[in-house]
Amino acid sequence: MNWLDYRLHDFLLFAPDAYWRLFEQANHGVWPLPLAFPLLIAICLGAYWRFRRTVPYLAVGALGMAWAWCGGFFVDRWYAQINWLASYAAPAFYLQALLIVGTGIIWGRRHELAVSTWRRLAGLILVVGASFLYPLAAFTRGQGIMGGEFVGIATDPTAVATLGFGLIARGPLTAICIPIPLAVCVTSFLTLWAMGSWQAAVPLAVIATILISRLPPSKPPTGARAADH
Amino acid sequence: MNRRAVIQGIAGVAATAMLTASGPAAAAVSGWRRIPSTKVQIPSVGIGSWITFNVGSDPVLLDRSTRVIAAFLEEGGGVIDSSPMYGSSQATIGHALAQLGDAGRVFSADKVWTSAADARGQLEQTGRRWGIGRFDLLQVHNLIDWQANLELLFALKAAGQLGHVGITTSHGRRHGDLERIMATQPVDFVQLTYNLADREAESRLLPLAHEKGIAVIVNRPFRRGALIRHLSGKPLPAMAPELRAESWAQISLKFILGHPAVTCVIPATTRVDHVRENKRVVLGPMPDAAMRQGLAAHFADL
Repeated sequence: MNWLDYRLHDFLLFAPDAYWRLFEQANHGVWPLPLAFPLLIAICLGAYWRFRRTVPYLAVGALGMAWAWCGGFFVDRWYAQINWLASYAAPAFYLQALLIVGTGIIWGRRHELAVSTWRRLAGLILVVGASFLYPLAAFTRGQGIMGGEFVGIATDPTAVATLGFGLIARGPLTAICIPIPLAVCVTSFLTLWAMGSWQAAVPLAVIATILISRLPPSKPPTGARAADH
Repeated sequence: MNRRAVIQGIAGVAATAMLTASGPAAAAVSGWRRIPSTKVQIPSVGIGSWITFNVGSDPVLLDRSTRVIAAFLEEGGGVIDSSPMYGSSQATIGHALAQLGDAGRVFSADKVWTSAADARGQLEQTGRRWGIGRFDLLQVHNLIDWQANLELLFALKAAGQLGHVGITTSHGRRHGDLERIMATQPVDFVQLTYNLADREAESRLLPLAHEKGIAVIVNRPFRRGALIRHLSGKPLPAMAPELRAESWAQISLKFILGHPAVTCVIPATTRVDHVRENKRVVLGPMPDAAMRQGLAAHFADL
């Protein structure tokens, strides 16, 4: 088999309407649970805003539950119905949940914020966007809020919120918040691109943001150092 | 009971007879073609299920799919083609047939899409999803483990548990291998991609099928809709009225069905009106070789 003969569209197993309606069905089955994760994130953000303090246990607990629920409920139960590849992806979601919770337990309250203001701001935008703006994209598809992609249910906002958290945090949490969520964003971008959806731009922008954030800080010009001598 | 129901009932009885028998009466009906190896007659327009019937357990989309299959059966039925690779499509077909009943109007076609070691288990699962015990046609999907899988399918056919054996490819892939299989294996069917834009099969595979008496199912007649989107708004060929073709979809299907080696084409759709439009393609004449060349030239000029 020559894989070069295949195009991206050849791997798309479902039509866009079948994909978008999955969220409507998944949300409908457990409503109002989809609102729980954005609510938890709002509490974390509110605490940070009001008291200038992080709420590390709540944040890692919420994210851990979000990944476990997303993998077991949405990916394995709903998405796998139209994409048999999804059932193979579900374990990665459980692994991410374990990594987040495990890291949170081990490092406890030693979570510190990223030094870079730019990274913190970018992370905050990703968390807020994933939690509160992502669900609203359903309206552009002619669906109501019930068709929204919520953190903890849908894969994309869960991954984006986690990446945002990884940018805000520092140390081991940053490291474990990037690989799997980034892989989810890459997969999502390819899927949405093949579907012809404008939303493909969102994971692409997130991927770019993460890659830029991982670039090493710029070094002082070598010429300036030489001039000291 | 209204007049439409009576007509549909008569059509259904005729269709049942055609799918299970052959003979001079069958040959006289427009739009039906004979499978060379068994002389069974099938409608030349079937329906595919790639993507369109992969709707999971969504009740709204399951109802939509059932309506599409109901319209297909009303229009005479024929080949319904699926594969274990197509997500929930098999279960969707089974859901529809459980509600509608096939009334003998379905020529059930599915595929083996795994290694030979797992093939029997997969076939049992496929049968459960469709809700039927015996398939009219089972094909080796994309030549996967084709030697051992063909051996299994031939054995099932010899045991009377299967009507026909076939092998498939798509997107123009592995035509060399397919040609060798067609030349050496007693397959009843071959399934391949052929349309106005993908014409590689014309050079060797279609003539070989004609010569060897192998029925041909054509997949991707519209390139998953891309061909029709490309042709949308462009002028129909001048010969369209002569062919009684009202759309590019019908022109595309007539181009395919005009080839003497083609037995059946399986466009997939989610729309009832498209099913009926596709089925109506057999009402007018099919293009002969010269007209088909003209259609291809017109397409190339667009």
